[in-house]
Amino acid sequence: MCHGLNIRFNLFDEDLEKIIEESFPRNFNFSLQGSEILSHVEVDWYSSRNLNIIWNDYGDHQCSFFQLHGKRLAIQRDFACFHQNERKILLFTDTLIDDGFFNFLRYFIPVTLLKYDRFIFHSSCVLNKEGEATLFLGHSGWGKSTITSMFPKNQALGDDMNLVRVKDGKVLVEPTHLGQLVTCWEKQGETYAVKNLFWLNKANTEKKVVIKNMSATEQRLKILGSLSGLFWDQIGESESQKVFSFLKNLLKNTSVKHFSFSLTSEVTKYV
Amino acid sequence: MSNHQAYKITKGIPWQVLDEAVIILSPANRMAHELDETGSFVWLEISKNQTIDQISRRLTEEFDVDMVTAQKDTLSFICALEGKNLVERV
Repeated sequence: MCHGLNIRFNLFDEDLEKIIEESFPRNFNFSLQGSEILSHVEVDWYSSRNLNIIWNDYGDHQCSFFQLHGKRLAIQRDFACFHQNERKILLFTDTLIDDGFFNFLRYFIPVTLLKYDRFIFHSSCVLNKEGEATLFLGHSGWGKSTITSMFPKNQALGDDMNLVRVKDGKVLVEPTHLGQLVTCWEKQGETYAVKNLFWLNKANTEKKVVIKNMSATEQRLKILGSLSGLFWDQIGESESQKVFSFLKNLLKNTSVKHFSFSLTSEVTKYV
Repeated sequence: MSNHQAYKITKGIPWQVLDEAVIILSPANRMAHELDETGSFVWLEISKNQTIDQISRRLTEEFDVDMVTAQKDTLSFICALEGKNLVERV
């Protein structure tokens, strides 16, 4: 179960069985998230090594899409994924867990959860002592992981990908299992109300936290730019309307502010 | 390019008006763009498959601008949109 998606992996190679056994404990559950099942998907997972696929040929970090017999083929630098139908996928990856497998999840989960009005934000997420969440959006290398490392382990939920939705006028977040650093397993699978949404600016030299308001236009563009795994040329009309409607609902209930800090800032006070 | 040329929004381009501003999700560079007041106005006219002349005339009616300037600006803006494959000739 991964964030409401019940994904069954069918393995056809001993190499893949081995990496699964080595990478996850026997009782591993991708998500402890409730009992709500949004969809069932079956993935036939093959080792690309056994098929002599050389990933170096696909140097692009972006996902490329092709139509094969009217069905979608997605290729990234370390996985290929053929959508036989809505519920059946053929996956080809290397036999290293970090190469391919998590990138496949980062590609597949966001676009699938979009149908259920759930969005993956490229963000880090921390909790305050009252259990309210603060999300830090921002470019890679601008401090998302650093921020989480400044919090006690039981308050740092995730440093890269977090699932956000708006329900009954509340913005909610849950940390994902899409290959981000998890320091606090006992808080995984829970949903938290979002108190703050900050956009990380470059580190300041003032040794203190600086928070500034952002224009409405900038807020909208920062949010759209932080949605992970959505390719505007691949989502359909109804899905793109879901994106706009989410954007509208999100900003009706919260706002994005600029946030800059230095390593000596008392960041924990501001969440 | 003739001022009688009509334009339309490229099929499949996701866009919407939010708070009176047009937001476009551009497939070419996989980025989101938000147009300013004038840009949004022109985009909405393009969505009605108007010609450059028709759009320019509408601009002179709504904004404090003369026809020659409106035509020049409309042409330049539409060229930029066409360059990003966001609009195409009818």
